[in-house]
Amino acid sequence: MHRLMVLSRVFDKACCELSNNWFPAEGEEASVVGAFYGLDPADYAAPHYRGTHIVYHMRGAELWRLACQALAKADSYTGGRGFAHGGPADMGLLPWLGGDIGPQIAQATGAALAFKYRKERRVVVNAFGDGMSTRGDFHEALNLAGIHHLPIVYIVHNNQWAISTHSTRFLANQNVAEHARAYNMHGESFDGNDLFATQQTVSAAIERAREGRPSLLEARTWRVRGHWAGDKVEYREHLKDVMRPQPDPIPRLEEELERRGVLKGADLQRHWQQAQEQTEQAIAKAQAAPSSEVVGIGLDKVFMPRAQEA
Amino acid sequence: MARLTYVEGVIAALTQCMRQDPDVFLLGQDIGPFGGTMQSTKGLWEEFGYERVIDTPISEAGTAGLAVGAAMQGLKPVMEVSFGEFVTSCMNEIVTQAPGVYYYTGQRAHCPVVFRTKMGDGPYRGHPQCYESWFMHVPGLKVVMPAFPDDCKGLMVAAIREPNPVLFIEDMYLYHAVRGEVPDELYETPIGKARVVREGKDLTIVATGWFVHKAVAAARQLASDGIDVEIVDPRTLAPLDIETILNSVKKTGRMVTAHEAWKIGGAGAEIAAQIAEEGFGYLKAPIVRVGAPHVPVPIPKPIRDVYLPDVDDIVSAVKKVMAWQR
Repeated sequence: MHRLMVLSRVFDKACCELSNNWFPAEGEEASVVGAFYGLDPADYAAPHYRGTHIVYHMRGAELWRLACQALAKADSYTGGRGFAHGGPADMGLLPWLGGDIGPQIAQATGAALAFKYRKERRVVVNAFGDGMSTRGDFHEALNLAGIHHLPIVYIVHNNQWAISTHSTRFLANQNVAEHARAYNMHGESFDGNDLFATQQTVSAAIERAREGRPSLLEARTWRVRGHWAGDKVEYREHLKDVMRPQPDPIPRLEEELERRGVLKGADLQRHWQQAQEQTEQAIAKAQAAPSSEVVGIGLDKVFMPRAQEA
Repeated sequence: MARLTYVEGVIAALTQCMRQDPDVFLLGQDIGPFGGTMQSTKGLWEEFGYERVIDTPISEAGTAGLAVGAAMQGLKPVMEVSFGEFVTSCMNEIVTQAPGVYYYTGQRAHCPVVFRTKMGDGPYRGHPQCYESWFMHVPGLKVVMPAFPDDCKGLMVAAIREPNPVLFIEDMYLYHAVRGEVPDELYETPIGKARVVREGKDLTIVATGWFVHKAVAAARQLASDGIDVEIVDPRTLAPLDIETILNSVKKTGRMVTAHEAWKIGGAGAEIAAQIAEEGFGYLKAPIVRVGAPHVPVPIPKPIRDVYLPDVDDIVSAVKKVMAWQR
C-alpha cells in the first residue's frame, strides 16, 4: 500500500504538470488507496475524481494509458473521446460521464441493486467528496440503499473543500457520517490520513456490505493543493482561522512502517525510486502515442449496435 | 389479436418481456399494488411482485441513477417517471449521464435503460407538459412517442431490447381514449421507422401522439374539400426517420407539422428545418407548423381547451399552404 500511495503522489504530480485541469490528490492518498485496497476483482469501484487514477491502476489499468488521458491521446481508456478522469469501464469501474458530479452516487447504488437483484455477493465501494454530501443525489441514493439493504460502502473524502468554499460554510453539520442515521445504515468518521485506520474501517464495512448492510464512512483528510492544478488557492487567505490542515499521510505511514519493522528506510526509498521510473516511462510512452484527433468524432460510436449486445 | 387501449399496449409489452427475460424489472412511484398513476402498470405487481416491480420514494434523480447504474451492469430496468414534468428532476441522468455511456467509455460499457413517462393533456389537476423536443437534441438517447396501441406494444418491446437508453413518451390524452387491434404475440416495431398513417398526394402532415389522430380527423374534413393529405407519424423522434418524411414531401410538395407541444423550438421546427435543408427543391409552398401558443400550459379545462391547437387549426394550416402562391 505504501508503494501505491507513493506511486499516486508521483504520478499525480507529474500529471498536474502535464495538464492544468488535473485535480491534485496530494495529501489524500491514504484515504484513496485505503478505501479501495480491500475490494475483490469481482467487486465494483466508483472512486472520487480526486486520486481516481491510482484506483484505476489498482483495478488493472496501465499507467501509460492513464497518462494518455492527461495528454489527450488516442490510447486513453475512454477511446480518445472521453474525460481525462474516466477509467476503463470494463474493469469493474463506474464510468465518468459528466462534469456534474453527484449522479455517480446513485449509479453506484444502482450497481449494488443489480448485485442484490441477481443474488451475487459482490459489493460496491463508492467514494466522493464532502462537497457532494450536500447534493440531492447523495440523499436520495443513500435513502434507497437503506431501504433495500444494498451491498455498498459510501466513503466521503472530507478534505474540507468544495472548490473554494470551506466546509464550515457549506455543511450545517461538520460530521458528514451522521447522515447515516437518517438512512438506517452504519456511520463512522475516522482519520483518513491514517492508512491503517482507513483500511481497517473500510474492510469492516465491506464485510457488512456483503451481508446487505450499507455504510457511510467519512475519511477526514486535507486537500493540500487547489481544486485543479492551476488553482492558486488565493481564497484560503480568508479562511485561515477555520481550516484544519492534516499532516501528510505518507511520512506518517513511513514512520509507522519503520517503527513496526515492516519496511526499512531502503525499502521505502526503493518505492519512491520505482514510482519515479514507472511514471517517467508511462509519460514517455504516452507522449509518443497519437493525439486524440486521429480517432475521429465517432458518429458511429454514439449508439451500440443491437447485434453487439451479448 | 385483442382490442387494447393505448396503455394496455404498453402493459402487454412489459408483461411479455418480463416473462421472457428475468433481467427486465420496473422502478417507479406508485407502480406496485396501486397499479401505477393512471393505471400505467396495472396487473404487473400481482404477477411479478415487489422484487421486479419496485415502488420507489419520491426521488426521481436517485431512482434514475439507480436505473442507469443497474443498466450498466447489464440489467434492463424500465423506470417510470410518473409525469413528464418530473423528468426535470432527473434530467441529469437522462441527458448528461445515460446517453454518454457508450461514447465516453470508449465503447467499454453501455446502458440499456428505458425511461417511460406521460406527456400531454391529461387530468386537469396538472402535469400537462410536452417536453419531447428537448430530448431530440441529445445525441445518444432514443426518443419514442407512439400514437397507436399496436405501436405502444411493439415499440416498448423494441425499447426494452435496445442496448442504448430510450425515453418512451406516452400520450396522456390517448392513454385510455384510444383502442386498437394489438397482436397477441411478442413482436417489435423498429425504433427509427415512421408510419404512414394515411396516403395522399397533395400535402404531408407530420404529426405526433394525439395529433396524429387530430390529423386523421382533419384529413377527413379536407377530403370533402378535395384536398388529399398524407399523414406521417414519425413514432420515434430520435432517431428521426427523415427519409420517409422526405419521400412523402417529394410526392406531395407540401408539408404541415402538428403537435401538442409549444410551436417554438418544438419537434416540428426540427422536422421543418431538415426538410427545408434536404428537400427544398420538392417544396411548392412554405412549411407551416401547428403547435401550442407560447404560454405556460393553462391548467383549468375551459382555458386549456382554448390553448390547445385543434383539428380546425390543422385544417386552416393545410388550407393556407394549399392556397400559397409565389
